[in-house]
Amino acid sequence: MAGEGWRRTLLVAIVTGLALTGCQEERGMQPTMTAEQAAQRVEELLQEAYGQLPPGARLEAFGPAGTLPCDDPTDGGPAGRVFYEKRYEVTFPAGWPADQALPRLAEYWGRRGYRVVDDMRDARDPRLVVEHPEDGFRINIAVWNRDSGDVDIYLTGGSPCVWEHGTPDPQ
Amino acid sequence: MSGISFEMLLNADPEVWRRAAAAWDQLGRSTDDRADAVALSVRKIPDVWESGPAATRARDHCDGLRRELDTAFPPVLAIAQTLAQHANDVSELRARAQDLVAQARRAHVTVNPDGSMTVDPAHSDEWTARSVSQLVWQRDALLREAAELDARAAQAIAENTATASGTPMSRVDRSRVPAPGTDPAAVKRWWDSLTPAQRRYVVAEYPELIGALDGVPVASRDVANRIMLDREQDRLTARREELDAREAYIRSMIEQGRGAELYPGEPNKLGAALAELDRIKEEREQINRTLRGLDAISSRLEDPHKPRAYLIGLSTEGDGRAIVSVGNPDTADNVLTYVPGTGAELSKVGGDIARADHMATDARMADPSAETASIMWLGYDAPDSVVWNAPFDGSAKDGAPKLDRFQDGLRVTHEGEPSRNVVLGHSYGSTVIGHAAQQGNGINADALIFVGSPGVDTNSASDLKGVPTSEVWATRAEHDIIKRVPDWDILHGNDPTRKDFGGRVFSSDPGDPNNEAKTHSAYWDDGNRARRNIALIVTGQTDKVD
Repeated sequence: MAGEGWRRTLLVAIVTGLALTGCQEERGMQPTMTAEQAAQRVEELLQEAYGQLPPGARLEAFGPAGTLPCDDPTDGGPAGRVFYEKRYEVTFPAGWPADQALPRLAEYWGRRGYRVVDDMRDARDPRLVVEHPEDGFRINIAVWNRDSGDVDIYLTGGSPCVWEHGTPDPQ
Repeated sequence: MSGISFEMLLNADPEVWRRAAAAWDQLGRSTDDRADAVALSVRKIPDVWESGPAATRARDHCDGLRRELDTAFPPVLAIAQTLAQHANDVSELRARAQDLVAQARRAHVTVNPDGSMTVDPAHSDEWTARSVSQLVWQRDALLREAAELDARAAQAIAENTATASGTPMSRVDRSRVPAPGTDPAAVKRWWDSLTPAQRRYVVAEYPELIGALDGVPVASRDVANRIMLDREQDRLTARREELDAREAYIRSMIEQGRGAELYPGEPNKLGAALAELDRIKEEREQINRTLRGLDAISSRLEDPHKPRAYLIGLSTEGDGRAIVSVGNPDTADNVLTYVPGTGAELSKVGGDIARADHMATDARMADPSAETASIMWLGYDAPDSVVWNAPFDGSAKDGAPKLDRFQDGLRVTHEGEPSRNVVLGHSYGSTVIGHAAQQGNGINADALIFVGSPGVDTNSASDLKGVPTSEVWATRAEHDIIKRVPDWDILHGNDPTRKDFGGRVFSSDPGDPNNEAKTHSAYWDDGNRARRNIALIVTGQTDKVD
């Protein structure tokens, strides 16, 4: 097709730029905690958040917990890293002060120096995502105000990128 | 009406069926392992029992046993599938029954365990009376649905139990199976024309044809592809053993100084030996990669702690293909098809399935009243690298018609009210979707979502057919490396998040300015706003997307 030649030349230039950008990823080769340790830490943070909620609520696992890929290997970074994620539904009896859940956690996380990653407290279905100041673990509370009048609350925790077994995987 | 009471529905325990499904899956696996073991014994008979009528009798007997075990495999899988689906259905119905009780309470009506209703005397007025008649209608609809589901599950189990215990299936000639690429609507008509016994026959006898055929109901494709998965795992494992044995033999011959005997007539005997060793190494590595992908699929299919997954497509050719659905799209209210991008291949399929799993959970959180199936569609040969291959790659042209037909197939096999079908492409996956939406009458979808797209093969959302332009969605993180692909209309078209593209843009987390490559795949990170928005689009709550 006409024009294919110059397109290719131009692309080589762009592509070189992209490939160089990919080099930033080299530091990803350092050892990390294992996925299992990450899972423990996520659980710890979720339980800590649960402890701040008004008494009377319970945590029920919501959806499968597990790892997700945190890189597209061909984008220049090393392959095979994952992050761990777990979600709980906060179940509670009628009359439980559901409207206090988010403000209480916001206050607690603020006091503990968590960094706010995404603040949607003004949304109809408010949500707050924070990150632990030291280890980069994230946790969020999401409140859904259903059309039926019901309120559902979820707590989700996630780890930073880790190697499944702690060290680069020779795949 | 059947004997299902409101009380039974409220107290139903779906876990019982889920556990039973897992047990049938287990039975299927062990039956199949036995069949494989018998097949191996049959092959060994001539070594120990050279010939004669007794040897023939023994072989025939073992062959018969193996055939019986083989025949039992598909119906056992179908029973497991029916039980798992029933568990989901019961769980949904129970949630709706509980919802009804809560709804009644708000209207000052008590639903008694037997389903009868009592009005709070303090609120006995016209409004409450209207609520009661509405509630009664809903209760009866629920009970009717429960009875229907129960009957359907019972029938499926009865049919398959008969097959598993030896009832003959009805033969269908191979030439009657529609060719690959046949219009899914025509395939569905053909499928509907078969008797249940004929359907079981084609699934068991021609799984390689049925598993890939758009227009065949997902539940049957799943059984066919599970048979294929098992066969491929066995075939590749056996081939690897063969390669290992051949390699060991070549090495031992060379060590004994007898290498020359390996290649009579070949002038360069050492060269030939080294070349063969290289070929063996290469083939083994390819097998290992493929098996890694197949094993990841198996372990997801067998995981009793997650919603049931359906294997809708499988091929080990080239980089391999796989289509895995979390939940059954034929019965779901919302169906998300996720098309992964560059670098996606069978060996790494576990990560993409995990994304589909998480998107299914996100959708359930966004709307617990609806059932959402989430499909990982790796039905095309994705380019290996966004940097080196994607710009020149013909993958989109190759993948587009397949995706198009797949979406058509979802429509024709869906039961009841049409589902909300959403197709999401990440990276190069979005280019495949863009291409599919510009061929013929476009793509059969209610919404399209482009995530971190390098372009969708057009500069205007209005060129995308088969989907309302108001439901063409796109997001690109501020620091996504994909922005380095310039909008000069030289690759796959401009960035679909541009204003002049005419789609609807939703937000995602900005990502890491010091790590643009990582940002390209951070859309599924925990807490990323993109995931919430995707769940809202999938569940049709588009007014809440931001």
